[in-house]
Amino acid sequence: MPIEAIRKVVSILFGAGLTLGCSLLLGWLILARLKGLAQTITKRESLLFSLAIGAAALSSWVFLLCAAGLVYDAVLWATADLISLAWWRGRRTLTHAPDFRPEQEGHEPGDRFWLLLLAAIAAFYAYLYLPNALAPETTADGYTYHLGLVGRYYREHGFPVITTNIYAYLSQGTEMLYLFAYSFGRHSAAKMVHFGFFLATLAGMLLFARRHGALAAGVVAVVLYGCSPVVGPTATSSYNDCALAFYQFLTFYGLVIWWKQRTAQWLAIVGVLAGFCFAVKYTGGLAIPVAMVVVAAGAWKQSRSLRDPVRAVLLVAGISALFVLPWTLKNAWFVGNPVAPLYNRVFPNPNVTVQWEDAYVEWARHYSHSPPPRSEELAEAPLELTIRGGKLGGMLGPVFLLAPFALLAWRRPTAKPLLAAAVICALPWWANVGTRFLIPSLVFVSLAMGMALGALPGRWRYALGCLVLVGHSLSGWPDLLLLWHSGQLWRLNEIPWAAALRTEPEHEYLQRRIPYFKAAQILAREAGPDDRVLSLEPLAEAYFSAELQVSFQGARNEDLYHGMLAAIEPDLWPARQLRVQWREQTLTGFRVVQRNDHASSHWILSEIQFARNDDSVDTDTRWDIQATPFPWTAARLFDNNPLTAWNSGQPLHHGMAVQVTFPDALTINRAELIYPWGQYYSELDYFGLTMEGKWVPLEAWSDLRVRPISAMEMKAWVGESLRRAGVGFLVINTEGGGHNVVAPHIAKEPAVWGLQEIGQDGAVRIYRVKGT
Amino acid sequence: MRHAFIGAFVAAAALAACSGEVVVHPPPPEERWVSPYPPPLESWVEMNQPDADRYIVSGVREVHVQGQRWVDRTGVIQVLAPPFLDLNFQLVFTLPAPVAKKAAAITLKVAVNDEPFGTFTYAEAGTYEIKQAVAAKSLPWDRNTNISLEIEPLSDADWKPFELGLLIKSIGFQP
Repeated sequence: MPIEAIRKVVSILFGAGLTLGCSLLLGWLILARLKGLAQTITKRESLLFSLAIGAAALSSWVFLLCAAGLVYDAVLWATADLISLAWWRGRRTLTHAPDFRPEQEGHEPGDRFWLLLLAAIAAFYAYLYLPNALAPETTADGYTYHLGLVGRYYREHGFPVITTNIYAYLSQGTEMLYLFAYSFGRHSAAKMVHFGFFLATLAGMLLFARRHGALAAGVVAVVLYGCSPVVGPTATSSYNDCALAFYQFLTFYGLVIWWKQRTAQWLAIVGVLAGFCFAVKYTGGLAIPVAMVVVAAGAWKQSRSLRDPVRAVLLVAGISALFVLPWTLKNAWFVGNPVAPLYNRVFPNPNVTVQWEDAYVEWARHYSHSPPPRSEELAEAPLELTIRGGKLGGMLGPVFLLAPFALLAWRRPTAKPLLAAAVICALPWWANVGTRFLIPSLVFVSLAMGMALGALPGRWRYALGCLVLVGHSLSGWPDLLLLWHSGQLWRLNEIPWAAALRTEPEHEYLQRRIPYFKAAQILAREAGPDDRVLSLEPLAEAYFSAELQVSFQGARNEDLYHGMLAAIEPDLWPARQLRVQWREQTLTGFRVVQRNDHASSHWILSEIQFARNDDSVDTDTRWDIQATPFPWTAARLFDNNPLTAWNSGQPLHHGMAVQVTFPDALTINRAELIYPWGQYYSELDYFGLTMEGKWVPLEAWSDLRVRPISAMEMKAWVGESLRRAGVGFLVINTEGGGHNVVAPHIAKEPAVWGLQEIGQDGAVRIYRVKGT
Repeated sequence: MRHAFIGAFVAAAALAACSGEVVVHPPPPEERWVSPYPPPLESWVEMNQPDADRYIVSGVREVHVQGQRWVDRTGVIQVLAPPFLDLNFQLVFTLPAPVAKKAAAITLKVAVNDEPFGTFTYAEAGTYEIKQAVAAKSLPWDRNTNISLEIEPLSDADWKPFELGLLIKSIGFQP
């Protein structure tokens, strides 16, 4: 093993180890401050909760460093040193906490058998998972935005204002930990942190089961969850679903302990854990109201007065808010929408359009742009999720077809909350049907299934348990899976020890595993950290330093893309010229109001020009322009360039309006409205602002003519508009789908589009933007 | 104290999220784009319009008389056809009496982008209008369309230069 390879592997393990270690120590410090807490849990449980609480605290600290622009190696080293020092000074109080004897529901004979079975399966799966976690990042979301953003924060020493990537708006609690690890061990260290959360979840499941006298159920659950084909690639990548599963499970775990202990300390812990669920992933935010309801119900049940439930709920909500507010404030400040990229109707902003949101929400509900009826989808879901997995990005494994048998555990006291948690954690799946979104629920389903198995009579329990566990673990093994499945799904498909140990050079492995990795290498060579790259195709942005703007991942990017599409799509040409005339009047403003409604068409206007008879009025930079909705691009209506357009960004409806007011009154009798040919549904009313300051309807008549359009000019504008937007490079895929519909046209004559080709990677073309 | 702190955070978030009334202004002239391209041609040209020369490729005299221009035996005119509409080829021209008399009859061959479009025969002097539908999507929209006119006399008389031809008033494609 070359020395470079050893050095790399050591740095990865060190980065991940330091992150998880600091989390653990920080968590210990925090738990030690909660008096009496150590008496309510075992030492192993305290380790588990220390990791969870400490990671949440460390993540928040890294968030603050990012906000302050202080993400430097020295600061992170100092953080690690301070945490270690603080722990060293306070270690005695922690280590002397008495062990806690759990209140067991019953004794399980034969624990040794189950543990041996687990050890055998775990050994095989460690052989599969460890190299995948240690290898360079090759999973799609990992090498694009998860680590792409982490890399950018690291290079820019904090949060740059990103308004061109909707993934930068999501909460990134886990990514803050990845950033800590990344600074020491780069991409694979971040992956190992996520893998650490996965392992901690398995440990937590065992501890939870042991606490409730059902270790066998814990073993079954660990194998069911840990060997699920969708969990493998997730746990060993820099995704965050397994981290969310960990936090949602520990929130549940904490609530179960609180339900029995009823101490304020546990309310605080639940508040941290539930709050951090939101910080890990928006969908995890569900944990907060659920925790509030549970503590309210518990406190009410105990005291039968309003005061205690209110105090408990406020405590949980208040502490949770500490983990919610940073992300929402960041979004409010950077994007103009605290919960971007969603709810843009409530929080209109220039960076995400309602149009994008509607399309994304609809796509996420089906993973298809032309879905079958919902009832058909739901009828297919059980098989798609458990056996097929091709459409929804992975499968849970055939054993989960037996999930309804979890109801057999109904009589066990812990089964009911487990089943309730399973249902609650599965709710986000309704909004995003990706199999990964069921991973948090899978933890609870697995435990409940384990308990159901434990409810079987003696021999049946062992026989069926062995059958289920061995069958499940074998059926998901990469090579064996191909015996019964086409393999066309998201899964682990190799055991990359050479890549993990870096005896296979990193770039060779990446080249082999990542589509169009050569394009990323070209950009790494040609584009610097200050350059912007617009791409019609997601790229491995984690492996180059330029800022990537994927055309469909932000309103500004889509706006640039629409300029490209307009050059080849005549319906988008500003070819309609509507001459609106009225009796000559002196006006201080002009307003156009939409009076039609249409569900699938937007209102687009390209230019407005005023005239008195045949004398056109020069545009004045003092004019005030307003538009409802999406006012931010309305200045394009008066830039004397019909190739730029204002777009409502949402379906056309009556009451949408564009208006301009003049500081000096104008005597005019004509307005020319230029807009795209495809605006078939616009029906407009016109108003003038009188000298008395009153908007009055203009008694106007109009005639429409066709404006001649030069396609060459449209194409030339594309390069120029990219240049003006600060985009230095364009990447297209001539064989790609979606936005790449323009790619073959560009590839045919790039110079006409103001572009110069600098490289190719298969069907992908990379251009330098030249403009006109 | 803690609740006040949280309250302040919530208020700040709410304030930051309120976009308020957004007012923008036209960009200053120096920021506006000046196209390097000449204005695109229209799909229809009247021979007396000020920029008619831009439409003439060859064989059409510059000087116009009473709004008409002389086309020699062959003339080529370019226009830019919009893709949105069903179009008709239209040509308004005058066959002068001397030409009609000497030629006995003329055949006017029209080609669009070098593809034959139609052949029309006229035996008498006068002003004529040709209007014929164009097959859908047969015209390019990303470049100009060349319309070629070729005049052939029926008689085999000797023709001096510039003697055989006709006067066109307008030509191009219209809905």
